[in-house]
Amino acid sequence: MYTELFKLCGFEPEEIKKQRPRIERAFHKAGIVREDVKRAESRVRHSFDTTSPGVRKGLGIWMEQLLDLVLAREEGKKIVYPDYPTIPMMTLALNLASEDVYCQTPEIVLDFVMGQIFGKLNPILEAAETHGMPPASAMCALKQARLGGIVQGIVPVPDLLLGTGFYCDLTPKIDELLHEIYGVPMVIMDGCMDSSWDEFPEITPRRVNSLASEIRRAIDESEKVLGIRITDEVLNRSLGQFVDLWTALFGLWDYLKRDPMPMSLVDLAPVWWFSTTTERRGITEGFGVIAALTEEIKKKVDEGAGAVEKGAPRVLIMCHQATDPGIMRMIEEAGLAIPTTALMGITDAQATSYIETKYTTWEHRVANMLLSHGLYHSTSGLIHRYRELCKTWQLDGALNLYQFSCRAFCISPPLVKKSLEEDPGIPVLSLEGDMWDSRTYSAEALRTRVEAFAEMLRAAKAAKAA
Amino acid sequence: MEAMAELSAHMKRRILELKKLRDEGRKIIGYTPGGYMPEELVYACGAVPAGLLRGGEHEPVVYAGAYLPRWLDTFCRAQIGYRLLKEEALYQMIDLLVVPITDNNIRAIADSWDFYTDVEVFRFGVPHAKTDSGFKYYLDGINLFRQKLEDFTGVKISEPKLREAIELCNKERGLLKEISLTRRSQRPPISGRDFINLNHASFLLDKRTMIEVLESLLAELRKREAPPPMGPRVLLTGSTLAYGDYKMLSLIEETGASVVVEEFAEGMRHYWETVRVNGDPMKALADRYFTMREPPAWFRPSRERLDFLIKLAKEFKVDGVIWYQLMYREAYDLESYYFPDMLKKETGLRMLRIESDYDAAEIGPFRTRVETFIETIRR
Repeated sequence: MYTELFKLCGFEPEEIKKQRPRIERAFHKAGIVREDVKRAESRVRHSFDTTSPGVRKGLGIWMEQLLDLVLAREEGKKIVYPDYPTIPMMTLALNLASEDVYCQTPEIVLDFVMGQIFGKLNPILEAAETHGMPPASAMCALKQARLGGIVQGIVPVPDLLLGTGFYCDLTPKIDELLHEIYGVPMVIMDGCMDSSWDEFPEITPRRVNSLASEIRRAIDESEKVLGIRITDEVLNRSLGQFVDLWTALFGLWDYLKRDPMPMSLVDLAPVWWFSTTTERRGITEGFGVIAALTEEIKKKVDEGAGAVEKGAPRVLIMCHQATDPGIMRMIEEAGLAIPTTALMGITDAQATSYIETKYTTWEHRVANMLLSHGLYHSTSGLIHRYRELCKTWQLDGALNLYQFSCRAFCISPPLVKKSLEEDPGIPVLSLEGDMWDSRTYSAEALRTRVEAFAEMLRAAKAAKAA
Repeated sequence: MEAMAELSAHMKRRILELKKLRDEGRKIIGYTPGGYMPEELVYACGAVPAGLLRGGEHEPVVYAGAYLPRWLDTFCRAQIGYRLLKEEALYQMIDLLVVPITDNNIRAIADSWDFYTDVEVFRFGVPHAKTDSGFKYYLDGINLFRQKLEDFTGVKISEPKLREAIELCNKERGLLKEISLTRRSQRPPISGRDFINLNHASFLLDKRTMIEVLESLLAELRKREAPPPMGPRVLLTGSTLAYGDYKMLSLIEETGASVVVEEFAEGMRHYWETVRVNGDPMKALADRYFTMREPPAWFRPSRERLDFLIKLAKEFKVDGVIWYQLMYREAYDLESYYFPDMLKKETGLRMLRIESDYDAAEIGPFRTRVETFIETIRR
């Protein structure tokens, strides 16, 4: 029943045959039945460019990640669930430290595969809503997926919860709830966003040192709980691989500066997520997919092909919807090119800060990298980063589509709007949304506003050109 | 009670006093009332601390909607509303706003004041677990705050002055605790409302004035014939009990029940512990404010706070718990899911959870729920 779906996701017939026992066990545990598979085929065909081998391969890696996640317990893994916001270098280090360890952020896998591909995320979210994360309380749906996936028995109860409390307040509380229900050990890397308004892009050593010591403590605790050794060699290798992955992604993303924008963000997002949830498979197989996509995108540039019309207004979107590709697709269909987002957006200044740093220990370098993004530093840091993105990518406007159910994020929208309208002086449309839950969207209401904004940007662009 | 009448008179005069002090060159240091800002440091440099704890009204929340999204804690949104509405005199007098960053809702106060007002904002972080590194970070934060105060006021904080301020604040805390503990009696000599009024006043009045009032009140309470036995005894707990947010108190009182003890993250002064008077005073402050203080819901592990609530419920012999939280304070949302079972198991008590957005339309449904709950716990 699933052969066609796996083919659409870049699998060769032999691979499907080889994976058949795993697929069947995992689908059974996840409650995926024939009608879900049919729906997934339709969604993949409708939402992704299935003529692209790179896109299909990228989807395939995610399908396999679902199998890895669901079957991790019965395949004898020591299971670690890092939280989102995640520290990707740390996830990678744990995966590299031992073949016996499976370290992955389950909510991202569920959002991507059960959400984007199968359109079957809602029952998972609803399960969380009856287990401590009630609806109408603006609870983060990403965290609902973490809780709901475990409560429903789709994903196994882990051996360690590896949480972060330096940005989101809810994340560690969910881990604490899981700790209360299932008795799972947890380690939280704490932090305080207490920098002064005008500090960024400087980052005080106090904050870097504090986060670094929390990261070091988490490594030590993980070693104890899992009974493994995370050597300096492993740590350095994880950092090296992460930087290599980023470099490959910068190269790919750089082509989105071309006009017309050659590929859709919807098609590229799957590979971008490899860098955030650095599970072993995403890294080992991800490089090949990025390389394939880079070749494809070069060809499209040479041919002058575009995912949107030439001259389409280019906008920054603060949060890209990650559970239903139809929403981002609709924004592109309204005639807007979205080359970058708050999370994906990398500027030259930031890329440099990843490599050129005064810090020497692994944990200090990682802490400095995280804080240099701006998002985890302060609201003013985030605004600073947005301004850089707007200038680097020569954007015509910003869709301030913000994650309403994220307390940390939703401080910023009115401040961002005012700031970007002043400097660099671009129009900003603020919209409430949820990048982890498509239930909160009225598609037509969103379409009307996005289309009007796109029309306004086109008119402004035409007037400027004249 | 005479002391309460005296308190009321002091509160009426306070804004004029603050204005006079400001005109004389004293700095007014506003702060968020979450219990992590050591007032001792402010006193020791001759400045005047003023807790920004106004809340309970709908208009500032609505007004704040233009400046902060509605998905943040109601009290936190109201704080920028009070400042920009320009109707609360205290909010216009602040020379420096100090915000110990406890969670993202509180960070929203700092960011919105930084962005929309000309008031200087000073932040220092409050880590979320009582680890050694958490303690060091907090201690480092209050040392930076001390430096900031010295720079801002031009007054060096001497050790004798700091010790004097510690003793003054300890005295106030001690008296509040002594008064609060009288409510363990079956016939409490002071009502929940009066105690909350006292507690709120302690964020605004001069410490010496406050201590005089508390001493007079305690003397009165000792002499006072206790009122007749009351209805059900209630522990009122939650995220924030703001100055002016008395609807829950009124609803409980209207049923004939009484609040005999409270525990809140914000708005109520924490008086259970005092600052050690020997040794390094900065470490002693960090020890009291960070390590000894019963933590709010965003601390880990949450068991410490929940065990403390159970202890209060037992010591104050309550008949039920009312959990009063504000909208979108997610840490409280989550704890309110599993605390009722813990409470029931440990004490056999029941809990009512109520969530407010400072909206007048809430009163009717709240009344029905409170009345029903009190009926179910009435002995």
